[in-house]
Amino acid sequence: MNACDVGRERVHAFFDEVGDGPVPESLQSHFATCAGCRELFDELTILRAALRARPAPPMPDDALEVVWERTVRAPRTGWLDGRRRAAVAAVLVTGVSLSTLWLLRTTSAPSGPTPAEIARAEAQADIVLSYAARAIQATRTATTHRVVGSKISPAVRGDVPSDSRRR
Amino acid sequence: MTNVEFESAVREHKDRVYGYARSLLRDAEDARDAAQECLVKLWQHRDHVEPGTGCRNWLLRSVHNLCIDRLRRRSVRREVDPDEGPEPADLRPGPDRLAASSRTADLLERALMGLQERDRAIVLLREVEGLPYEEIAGILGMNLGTLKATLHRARERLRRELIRQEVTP
Repeated sequence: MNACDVGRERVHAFFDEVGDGPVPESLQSHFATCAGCRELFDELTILRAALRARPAPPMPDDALEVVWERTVRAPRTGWLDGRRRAAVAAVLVTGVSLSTLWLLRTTSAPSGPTPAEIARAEAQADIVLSYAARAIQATRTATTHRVVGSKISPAVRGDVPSDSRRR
Repeated sequence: MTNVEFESAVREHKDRVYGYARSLLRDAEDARDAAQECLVKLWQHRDHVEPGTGCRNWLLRSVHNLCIDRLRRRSVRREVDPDEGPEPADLRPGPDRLAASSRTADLLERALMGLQERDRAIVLLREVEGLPYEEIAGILGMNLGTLKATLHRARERLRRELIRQEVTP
């Protein structure tokens, strides 16, 4: 006897979602009127039980031995295995790179003025000092003229008008 | 995963992995190689695999992919050498089969082997291993709707086959 289309979907949905739990009331009432769906349900229940009871063939012992030999009993390839070796290599490369960068920065940074900079600074200092010396000299001359000039008679200085000199 | 956890996981799941490979590949030698390769891969990825359910699902996903690779290589070999022909189903009564020599189990095994590889994988992963649909969909690269529809068809086919063999009432 064939299951009806609607019932078939519901039976499969039951096995999809629940399978082992109690059969819902709605499905049970459907079974009362549809022998095909009841039959399908019973057969799928037996099928599932048979599948779950299906014996798993044991993995042969010698095959398992090969697994142990290739894993936990495999000889180490040195004091570091592959991943740890890679990690140490990465740390070393990073360290060396950073050290190189630091050295490049410290050696390329100027430790003092270059000879050209010293010569330029000396020239600029000479110019400033010469300006200062000229300024000092001019101030001294002006001051001398003012002090000495007030103590010299106008005649000596030559400030007398020409007509009074003729008289 | 520590070395001790790895050893424990291998002892717990080795038969599941081997049985799945054998059901899918239908060849004991091939299944043995695939199971070994899968367990060695677990060792290589042990730092990224959590023990428990995650480990079981990881192993089933891994062995499934390894089996699919082998099945593809087989089909390529068949294309290159047409005389090679399809692999015969491995239905010889091995020690495991003799140990569980019930007629139902034997007929169920034959019915399973009659399914297409993808359908067989779905039935095994869902009905035998009890993996969630989402996990199976991820392993097989299918959407949930197609997965469920395929599972329904596979169940019906197994049922019909077992009825034909008069196993179910």
